[in-house]
Amino acid sequence: MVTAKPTININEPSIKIYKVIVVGDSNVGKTSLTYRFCERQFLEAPEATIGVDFRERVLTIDGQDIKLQLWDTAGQERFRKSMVQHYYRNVHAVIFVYDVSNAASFDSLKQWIGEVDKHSFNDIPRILVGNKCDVRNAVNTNVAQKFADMHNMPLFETSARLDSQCDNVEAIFLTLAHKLKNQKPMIPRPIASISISSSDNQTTQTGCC
Amino acid sequence: MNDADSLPTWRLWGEEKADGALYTVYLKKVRYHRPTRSLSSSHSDSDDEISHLEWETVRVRFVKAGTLKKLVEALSTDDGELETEWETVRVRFVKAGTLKKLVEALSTDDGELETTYINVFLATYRSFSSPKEPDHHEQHRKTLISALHVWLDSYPEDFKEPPNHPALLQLVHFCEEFLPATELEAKVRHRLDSFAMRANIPGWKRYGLPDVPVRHFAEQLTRMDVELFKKLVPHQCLGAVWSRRDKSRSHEAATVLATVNQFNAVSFRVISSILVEPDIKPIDRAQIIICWIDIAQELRVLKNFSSLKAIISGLQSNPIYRLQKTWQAVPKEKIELFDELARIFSEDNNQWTQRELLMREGTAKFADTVGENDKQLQKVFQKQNNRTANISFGTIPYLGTFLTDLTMIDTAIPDLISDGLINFDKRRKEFEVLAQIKLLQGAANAYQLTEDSLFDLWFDSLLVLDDREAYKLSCQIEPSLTNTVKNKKKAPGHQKNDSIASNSSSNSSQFYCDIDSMPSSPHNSIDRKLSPSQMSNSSSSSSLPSLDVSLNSSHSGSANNKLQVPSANNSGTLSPNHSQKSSPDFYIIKVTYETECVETDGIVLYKSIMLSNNERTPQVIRNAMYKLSLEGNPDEYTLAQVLPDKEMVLPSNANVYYAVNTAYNLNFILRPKRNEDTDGSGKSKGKSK
Repeated sequence: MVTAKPTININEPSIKIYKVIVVGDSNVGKTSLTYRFCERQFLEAPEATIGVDFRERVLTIDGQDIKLQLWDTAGQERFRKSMVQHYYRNVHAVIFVYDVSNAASFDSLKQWIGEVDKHSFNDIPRILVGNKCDVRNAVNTNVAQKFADMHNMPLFETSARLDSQCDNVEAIFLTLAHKLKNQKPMIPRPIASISISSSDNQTTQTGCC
Repeated sequence: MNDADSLPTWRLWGEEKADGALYTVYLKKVRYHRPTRSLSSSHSDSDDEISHLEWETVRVRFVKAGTLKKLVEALSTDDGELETEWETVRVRFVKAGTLKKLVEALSTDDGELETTYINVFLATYRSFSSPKEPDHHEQHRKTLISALHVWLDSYPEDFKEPPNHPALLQLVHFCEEFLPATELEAKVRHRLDSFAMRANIPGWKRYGLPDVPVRHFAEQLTRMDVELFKKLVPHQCLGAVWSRRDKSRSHEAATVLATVNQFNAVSFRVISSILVEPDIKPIDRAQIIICWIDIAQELRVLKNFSSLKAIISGLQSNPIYRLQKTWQAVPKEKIELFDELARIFSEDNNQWTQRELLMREGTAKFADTVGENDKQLQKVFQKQNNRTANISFGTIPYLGTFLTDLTMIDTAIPDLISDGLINFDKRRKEFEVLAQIKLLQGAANAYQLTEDSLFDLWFDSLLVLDDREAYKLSCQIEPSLTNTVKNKKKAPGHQKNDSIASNSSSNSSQFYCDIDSMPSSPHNSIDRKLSPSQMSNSSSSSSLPSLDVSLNSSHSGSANNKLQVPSANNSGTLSPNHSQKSSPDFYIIKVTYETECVETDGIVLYKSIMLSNNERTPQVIRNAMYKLSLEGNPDEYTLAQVLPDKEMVLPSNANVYYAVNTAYNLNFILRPKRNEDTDGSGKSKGKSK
């Protein structure tokens, strides 16, 4: 079974996989955003037999390939939240999405952040995205920026619908990819066991010496 | 369903545009024989005919898009028919068309029904038309009859309009007039009668966890799920209907909602049944967890993935997951079993495990698929498969996966293609998913479960707690550590910290954190500076444990929060462990910040920091403050280690590394010195949903 840590793909030795969850109220456009980002993947594999999987995209950062795996629970929002709690426990990054035209979705962000705080670590990269900026603007950008600052996340406003905003969507994920990649311990190193917890690279070494 | 040897190699030939419709043409190698027109025959080869079969290349044309008119027409033209040509068979499928065209295509030119097409059409037409429209074409009487048969059989809910079922009535009249004494008329009448029937029975007596017949409970849960699943109207799962994209139609998703509600009801009951008695001993509480695990196991045998997942979710939910003492009292085999069951729903590889399982067992006799590491399940299956009583062709899937797929298809593929033609390819994709659901629904008929009204009574009488209440109770049962010490304030939970997590972050004094509970703004500068590029050493985070590991950590338990990867059944436990002979160069300690004004709806944040052997109190406080986004003078804070019965306040200039008591958890509290005030005014605290 594949684990959630950055894994090395045997065929492409340099590819690391990062799991990213996309959270936010329903109908804020999480899925479109994900789709926008991974579009090509989806179209290239229409014959995919196991469900619809446009959740991955390989990016090249500084000459190195990394794979972002995006998770959203589209369609399952009405299932109890606990259902997805285990997602939170092992992700590498979080994208919070709200709908610029819907103030309530912005107000819910705190809850989403709280939710993520409960389950994941506080130092994984986070990004805030205001989606649908093509529509009427109900959330003031300054307010959003403040909020983003307060929580130490970069803010992006975008529209997954408009082609003109495509670059922006791209930028979001590139930013994230950079953040992920620049975390040193991400670099998989040979660890003395099959272990799971590549996280304790450093501690491990010290611990054993 | 195609097996390997008939697996066609489809090659895209090109697109053909014809009046009002767009076709995709494929060349396909098939074993060709005149298909007998039954629902299944177009795909399966019956053995006795094999000798006549030959491999040929087939040219297949799909309608790709078209106006509605064209799409309707395609229902009855030769477009959907296999055309035999020498060596090459050319098949044209409706790809898109107008509604009229699509409806016309419902029957082939020789009056035969194109089954695949009609099924796709009926399953998805709601996305681009309403039930009223298609009925008006009566050119092909025969076709109409078969179409109505298929419609009645496959989509009974279209005709279910209590109390009077006007559509059915209309059909009855129609049959009386034009098709008297036909099979169809009989069918319609029978349908009308059966809609009129209903039944009820009450009962008395009580079940009480954990002493319940688990197999029976699993069966009863399954019985509830089967009823809902059979009633589930597949097209209500369509992205456009179920997800709120089309608000005006969300009320049409009632059967989906009913399924979701049942799922949640089970999940909630798992949680509340474990928490509801606050004063029982961990060992007794563990019995309830064990009972649920046993029920889950039986559900696996019954191939009821819906309730199975509901139970797993309940057990994985925060209020339960955090009950370390309770989990410690659960025997190791049960934990393993639980892990194995939970692994079924691992989201890796687009939920490969679960999908694969559905494929294999969807209509199979037994549940018998196990991972090579699933030792407990292997045992279970070995036992059960000797019992013929366990033969069950039925399967109840977890609907969420389908809903996600459909939502994504809906998001990703446009309804119309460039010329305003209806994108029938999208509908085909949707149909693939709907067809799976329908297949499983058919299989679900195989369940033979009798209703136990006592069970229903028990189920309904269980108290249900909402998230917040559940969390509170959970904290009452096993207070989070800060709470034990301070034992006042309402129950702050602590952030569940998988040990792995705690290691992370820690190893440097760089802190990149963002917690909404902390007064933040002024610190951003700091955080900023340290942001990603510099986080370099900071950690980890990333490497998170796989699902199963994280689960392990939950119960494996060792209630300590020391940095230790929980040992349970897990392979690589690499964490530094003080108990090892040589003591490490540093410890990872966990610090929580305490003020008066923490809003306590259940979250206390720990920050892990590294404590090296030359750090003194002020430095450690400073590190902790950074990490917690606190500003101010380190001298204004005190740091204390939380010990089981007291706190040990560290002297103001101690070498903390040597001062800590490593016999206990390395949990610390940072708090402002008395009569100092903190800048904690603007705290907003995480909340629960």
